[in-house]
Amino acid sequence: MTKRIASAEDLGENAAFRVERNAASAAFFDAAGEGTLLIRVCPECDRLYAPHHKRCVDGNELAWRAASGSAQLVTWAVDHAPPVSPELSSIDGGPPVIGIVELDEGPWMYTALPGVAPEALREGMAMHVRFLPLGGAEPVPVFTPAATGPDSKEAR
Amino acid sequence: MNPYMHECPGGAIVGLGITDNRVDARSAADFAAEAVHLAISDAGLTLDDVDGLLVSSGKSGGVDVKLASRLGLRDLGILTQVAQAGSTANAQVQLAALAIAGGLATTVVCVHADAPLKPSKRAGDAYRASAGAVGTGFRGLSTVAGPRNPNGGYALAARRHMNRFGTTSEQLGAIAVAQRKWAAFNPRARFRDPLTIADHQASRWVVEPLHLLDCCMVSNGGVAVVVTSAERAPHLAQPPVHVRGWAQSHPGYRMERGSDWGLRTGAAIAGPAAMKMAGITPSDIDIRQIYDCYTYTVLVTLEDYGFCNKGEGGELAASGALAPGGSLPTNTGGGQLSSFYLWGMTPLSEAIIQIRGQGGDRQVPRHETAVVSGNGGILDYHSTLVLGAQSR
Repeated sequence: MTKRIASAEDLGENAAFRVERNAASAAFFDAAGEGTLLIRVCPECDRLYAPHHKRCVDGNELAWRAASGSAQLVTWAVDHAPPVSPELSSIDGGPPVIGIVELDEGPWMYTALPGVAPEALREGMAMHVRFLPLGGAEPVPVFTPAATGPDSKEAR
Repeated sequence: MNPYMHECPGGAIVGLGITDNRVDARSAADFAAEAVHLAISDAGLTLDDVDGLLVSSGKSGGVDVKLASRLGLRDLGILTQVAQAGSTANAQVQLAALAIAGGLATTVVCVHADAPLKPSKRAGDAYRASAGAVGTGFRGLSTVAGPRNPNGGYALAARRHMNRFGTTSEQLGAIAVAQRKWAAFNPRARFRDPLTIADHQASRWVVEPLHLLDCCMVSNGGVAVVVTSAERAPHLAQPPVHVRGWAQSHPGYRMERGSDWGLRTGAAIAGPAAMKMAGITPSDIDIRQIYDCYTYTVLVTLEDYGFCNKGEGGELAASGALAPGGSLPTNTGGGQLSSFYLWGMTPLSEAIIQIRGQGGDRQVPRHETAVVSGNGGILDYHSTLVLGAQSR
């Protein structure tokens, strides 16, 4: 095993990375705090988008809509650069895994996959959102295999 | 609608200037000026002959339209900065040829230079962004969730290809090994020591599935080319390199169900369009200079250009076809993996050298026609050039 716990030295000044809300993300984090993943919807054409989008391709401002939190894994990668937070480590304190998931509603989301075993990941694997209050701050949506933790309220 | 039905307006590359890549006090603008002087001299021209300048800045910035006054250029008919990342160099040549065909200028210099490395700074620092301790809103979320730099983006794309088609890390390694074999014959290449698949496999992970030896280096330096009309080209100092076909394609991927992001790039549209314009097919191409920020970029571009079927790029790489002595000579100077990293100017400059027959120990015997790819972003921007020793 080459995996190791990320040390404070590795993490440097990023040891306590946290995400803070702004006006554009306030509703998103409010819902996240209640275990709900919000995505975007066009009020005119009903097209759906990942949460960071602001406008539809038709130009309309997007509204919020609750997603189921269920998804399928599109792809993933194991980032061996110094991690931004030990809370994002993969299994056994290994380097963090990032990925793209396809929400059941259709949009793709970039996501962290904390706690996963990279060897066990498969394209199309069922995933579910949970919310990680990174650094004790805003709850950050992350995805894990559905079989191991589908309860979106259960942070860890 | 096919915008590429018309004939190529032509044009020819008649001058090439490549600086050294030493890391010293020189700025990107210093390298750019040096490269322009080298290219003009190579063409047998003087600065007084130049009436167009297209500049391109790299990671360090600092190469802009002010370069014209620094060079003492006067009465330019076109002067602009082109900025589409790794697809810029081919686009500069395309725009230069259009400017000449459209009467804006007769002799256009295209230059790209960069100086991200400092004598006191590590190479990795040049491209690594510091996350800081706090992120705000969705930008903050992207620090946690997304690729933090191009390494992560290309790793996600490569993994998707592996999942879908069974492509392996060893097959990606075969690309690095083949290019290093070419680099051994290139005096300009930074890395010339032999490389094995075992070396590739033993190199550290950057972002898995990409090893260190799947990733390009970072370089300081400058490259300039001189473009003029096909009619005038044969009367200048160097064997002309004719522009025979071109296209760009910037996919604008929708990141949603059904997207082929990571598996198929703009090369799948631009490559066939450029070859059609030139009146050729992949089997007519002698030399491939394929943008290689990562080994995977080479693999996916070769597939998209039609040198093999989609999904078979790994087998093609492992066959040895891309290496010296192989049936599909590719990245014959060592590319950005082994020679030097100046974005689209790395593959473009090597194509010019090969078509002229000036490749020395690495010269490919058949060198009538070359295809050059440029790729930028995370497979977001693509440009293709088909170049030839003959105008038709």
